[in-house]
Amino acid sequence: MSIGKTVEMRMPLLRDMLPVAVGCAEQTARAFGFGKEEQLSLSLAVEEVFAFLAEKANGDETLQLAWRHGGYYLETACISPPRALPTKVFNMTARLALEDEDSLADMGLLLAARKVDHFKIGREKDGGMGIYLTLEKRYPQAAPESGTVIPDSGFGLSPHGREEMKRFARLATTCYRDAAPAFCRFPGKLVDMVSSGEYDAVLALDDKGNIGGGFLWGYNGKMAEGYGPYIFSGQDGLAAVLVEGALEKLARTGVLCLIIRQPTRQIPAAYFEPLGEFNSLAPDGTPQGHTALYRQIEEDNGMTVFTHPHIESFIRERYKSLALPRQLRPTVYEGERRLPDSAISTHVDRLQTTATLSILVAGDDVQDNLAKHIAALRNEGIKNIFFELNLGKAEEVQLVPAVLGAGFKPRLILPWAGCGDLAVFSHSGGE
Amino acid sequence: MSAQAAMLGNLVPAHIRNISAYIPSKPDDVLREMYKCRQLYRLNNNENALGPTSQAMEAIKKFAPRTAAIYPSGDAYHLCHRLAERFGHSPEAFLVGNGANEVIAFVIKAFCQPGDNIITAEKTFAVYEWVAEFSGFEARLIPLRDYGFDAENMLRAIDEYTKILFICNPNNPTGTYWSEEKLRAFLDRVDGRQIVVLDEAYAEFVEAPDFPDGMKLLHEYPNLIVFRTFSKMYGLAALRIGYLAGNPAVVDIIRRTCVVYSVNALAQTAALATLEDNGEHVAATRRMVSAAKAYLHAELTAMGLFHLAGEGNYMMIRLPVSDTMIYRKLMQQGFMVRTMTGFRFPNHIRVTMNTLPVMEGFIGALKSVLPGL
Repeated sequence: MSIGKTVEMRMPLLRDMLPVAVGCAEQTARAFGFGKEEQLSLSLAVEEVFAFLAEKANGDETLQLAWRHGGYYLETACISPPRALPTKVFNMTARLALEDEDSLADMGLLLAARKVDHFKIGREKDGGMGIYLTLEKRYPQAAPESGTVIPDSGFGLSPHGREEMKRFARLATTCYRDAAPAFCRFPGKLVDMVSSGEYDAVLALDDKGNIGGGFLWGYNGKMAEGYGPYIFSGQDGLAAVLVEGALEKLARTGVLCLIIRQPTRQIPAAYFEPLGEFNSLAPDGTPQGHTALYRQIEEDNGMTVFTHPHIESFIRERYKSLALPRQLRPTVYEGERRLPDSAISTHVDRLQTTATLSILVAGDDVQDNLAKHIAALRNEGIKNIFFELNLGKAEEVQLVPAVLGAGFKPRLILPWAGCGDLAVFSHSGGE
Repeated sequence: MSAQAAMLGNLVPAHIRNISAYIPSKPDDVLREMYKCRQLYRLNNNENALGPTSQAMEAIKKFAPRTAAIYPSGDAYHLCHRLAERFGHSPEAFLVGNGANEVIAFVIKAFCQPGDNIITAEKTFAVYEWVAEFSGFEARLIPLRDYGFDAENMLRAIDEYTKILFICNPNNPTGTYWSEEKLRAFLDRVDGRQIVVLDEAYAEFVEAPDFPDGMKLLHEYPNLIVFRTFSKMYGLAALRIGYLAGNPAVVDIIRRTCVVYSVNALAQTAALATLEDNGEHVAATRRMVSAAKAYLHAELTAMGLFHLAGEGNYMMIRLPVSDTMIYRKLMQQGFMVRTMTGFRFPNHIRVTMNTLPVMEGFIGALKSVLPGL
């Protein structure tokens, strides 16, 4: 199995080396089991990034390339010496002006961003600059599970194999429709997600191999994000068995907490704390309310978070209600130098017609940039738009006036969900 | 992932890459500040609220500061000799470590090699499992039966690669224990093929007549190793000192993996003085624990809360809500308990027995933070 394996290379950042980088990208994608379409997408993206960086290099610089096989995705890291990046091309709203030469020079990065599923940039600890391209594997969509009669008793937690996981995915999609996570529509993908170690699950099986229910979670730094519990049997107490099983599996993993943004109605409340309520629109436009739930796994010994005066009362009230020990450190923007152009990360769940925005690069134009993103998303029919703000990053918290100015309102705090806690805002236009 | 991080990551073995560091709780002054409480009662680590023995306290007071410049005895020479007298074994049968946690690592390092496994319970003291896993060995975790170690399924899990079986007696956190009869039957069935570690960290708290004394079984079972600590009953947790005892030939093998000079001079001095106690300290502590358990049992029963009041100076309580939430709310009132989700008992807390006024304060705080009580 090549999951988790990495292919790495260092090469001179010279245009002559471009075929080497592109060839390696394509061969790596093929060796890791990705299809022709994905191989082509990745090699084109790497070609564009390489060409962009080589154009700006001084002739004796080195590029590090690394490809990591994540099972259901392939991540490419391109690490080069530090230089100013045209951050605006990382926005989903970026457009090129054909009459503008600078804009054309940035076209390669824009094309690369469009060729892969996720694109991000970051500053490395050694000062280098990293461009990360993530390409997801394509999977066939499953047909609904029909005619399955699930018994009302006899279920218990049990080890499961790939076939049980695929059947669980089909049942979850069939029984919960839009309320099941989008990845459940692709059972093969769910199997690879769990095999990668980035996701995990507990399933309740009976001795005939029927699936009574299941609970899923994904690991995200110190937080696990839960989905479910999905219950297919009428057996009493099955949801609590699944949640206890999940918590016991999460114990001793180092994960600090489990968050469920949209729990199912079978969730056993005694194991969780409400984080707050928010409203959204279902894909058919029906208004729906949600209570996000929180479960701490380890003892919380506190941390310091940044806060802005415009949201301080909200932050204080939330921490008080959750009895979370936090030292608040106020911060405001006071004219210090920052980049003119911001970059905003956009994650779209088309099934739920929901988009989540977050700051990739803090810049002066963030309010306008947010407004453009909101307009573009509304234009695409996205009904629910959320914004996530890292309370552990002062430069992000200083953007609060712009975030509020763009029409967002604070709704929740997700403890330990980002660099420290995350504040979640919803856009008022969607409710 | 950065390319640089990926390259450095290649230096890290897979079994280390996949585990997280244990993060201990912050110091009391920081916690008081964070939780805005004036006092903090530590009911989380099963420490002895009565402190060390009077002899140990006197020895600590008399410890000459200038001797801090001198290395301690590298193998706790005097302490091993004193332990040998007390328990009727040779000094070579003892190995002293920087807390019992250190001797756990010594034993695993001495006997396990790649591909080997250890067997213990799924819901017990975590360090056996942690040390095995961060050392690259499989930890086979057997579910408890009726809150106790399941001898039959532990024996069934043994294969040709099993090197060590760890038994926590009494079990932390459930307080269940194996009687001498049950332990002997288990050892007879292992029949010397594997090392059996009997962790008796809380043995001095146990008053049950059928509770086994591992030290007395060492002559009969050369594959048996007993762990003891000065951190619990004897109140020297801050000094970090514990030991193992076993057949001298087995201990000689373990000694090859141990870090000499890891036990400081003050700890050795205090431990030696502890052994001069005539039993008063143990008796007083047992009285305190017994009174606290009786009080808590009555209160928790009245509150309708399921609890396990087995052996040891602790009690495990099932809550109708999240244990980690109650932890934070109790911290605000100055009571620090141990959440049990980390022990794979979600919605349970473990509480260390303390003096009655502290227990009364704890019950008052618990009533105020539990909804509907």
